[in-house]
Amino acid sequence: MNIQVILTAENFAILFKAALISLSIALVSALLGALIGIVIAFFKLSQNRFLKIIGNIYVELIRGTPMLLQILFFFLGFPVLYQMITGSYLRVNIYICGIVAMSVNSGAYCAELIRSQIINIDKGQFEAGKTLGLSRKQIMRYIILPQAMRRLIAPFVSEFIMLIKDSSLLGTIGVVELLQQARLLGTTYYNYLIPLLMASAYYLLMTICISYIANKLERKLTI
Amino acid sequence: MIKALNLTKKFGSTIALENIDFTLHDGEVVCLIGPSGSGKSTLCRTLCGLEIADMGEIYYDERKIDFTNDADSAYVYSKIGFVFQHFHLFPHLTVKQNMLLAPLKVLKENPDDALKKAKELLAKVGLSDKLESYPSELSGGQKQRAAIARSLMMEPQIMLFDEPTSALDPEMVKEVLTVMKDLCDRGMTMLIVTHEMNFARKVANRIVFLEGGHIIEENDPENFFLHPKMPRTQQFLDKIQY
Ligand SMILES: Nc1ncnc2c1ncn2[C@@H]1O[C@H](COP(=O)(O)OP(=O)(O)OP(=O)(O)O)[C@@H](O)[C@H]1O
Ligand SMILES: [Mg+2]
Repeated sequence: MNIQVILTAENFAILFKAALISLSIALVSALLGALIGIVIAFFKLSQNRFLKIIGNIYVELIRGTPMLLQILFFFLGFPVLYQMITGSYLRVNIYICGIVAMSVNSGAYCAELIRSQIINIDKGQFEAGKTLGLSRKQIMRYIILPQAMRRLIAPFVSEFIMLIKDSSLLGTIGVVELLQQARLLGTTYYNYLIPLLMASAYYLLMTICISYIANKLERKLTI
Repeated sequence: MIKALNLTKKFGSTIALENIDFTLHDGEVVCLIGPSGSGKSTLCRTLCGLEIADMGEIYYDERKIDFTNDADSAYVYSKIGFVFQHFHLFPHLTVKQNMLLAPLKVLKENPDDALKKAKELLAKVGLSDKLESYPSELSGGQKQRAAIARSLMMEPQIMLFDEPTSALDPEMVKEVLTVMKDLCDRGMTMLIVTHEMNFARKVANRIVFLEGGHIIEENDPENFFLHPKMPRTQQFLDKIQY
């Protein structure tokens, strides 16, 4: 087989489109995951025992099971549950399903990242705020969170990079993301090597660019 | 006025304070001294709710304080300022922002008035040129003076200091003590945990000597240093004075 047959501009364009799909799914999931993470982190840090337990169960459940299982749960399991409860049939959109599964997954990891950054802020910062008369909410908002946010940039970026790579699992439920597209090309040409290498190049391009931008951003924000 | 009755504070099985009775009267400057681990910090922190006592009562003026109650806490923090050994300036904010945060958010002061007050206070502690600096750009002594100025922004009636100079290089101790002396001279009520014996002797109306979570001796500075009542006090003074 001649490599030039596969290494065409057209195939690069096809994979580029698939890479954009992977990137978009990861980006949306990362943002939703961060939001879920903030909520769950506050549950875990809350004085309320009920919220604390919910937060703990969420994090343990998600971190203790494989992501592929979670994806399959939302794709195959959830519709069954839905039908049992409502009696009607649910047709799931694979993109929404994938984004939901990845957001829910990322939320648990983000919650832990946020929680650990908040509790790692020196206790003296809370105390200084307290003796100045600031309320707990004000201390969080003006003192703790701004400092935690800065320290969260790097771990959040790693999480985003993880999501880009994990989005390849969505091929299982039929999303034509970057890896799935590479496999389809492989099937077309009876050669998996070249399409897989091309996909690798795209993955690396994305992750290296993101790391680079994050580094710049972090340097700008740390004091 | 702060009054504590029968105060006991434990950390697990360690008894940090045991049945302490202590009063800080208006206008008074009291220095708390004692060996490491004697409970000086714990007393200071328990009096203002940074630690919650296991037993005993705390009064501010005639009001009995329950630090788990937000209204009581707010009352206390409207009256006192606290200066920490390690300053605890907010590192993500400039000196100006450090100073304005509480006045604007808690007292809802007018920003122009608050800024004017901040500039006056910074001038008083000798940091006029540091208004826009970040804490990381200040020396230890400058940080502590900025932290004192930040506390004073809230116009406290009582200032508590927990070893304000212990984290400083020796050549920076004096600039901070000078600022504190100045506060004494203006009639501020102060409770100061310190190892600076000469300073304590100069500014205190009363010295309280703590050991093992107990008040061993309370005395005026002259008598405390020259004619202590308790043998334990004498032993402590002999040990620390070269
Ligand atoms: N957060 C804490 N957890 C556990 N034990 C504590 C805590 N804070 C203080 N202690 C213990 O309580 C006792 C009194 O400590 P405290 O910090 O009040 O002493 P101190 O007189 O301020 O000493 P130093 O001069 O070293 O600052 C010590 O035995 C100390 O180990
Ligand atoms: Mg101490």
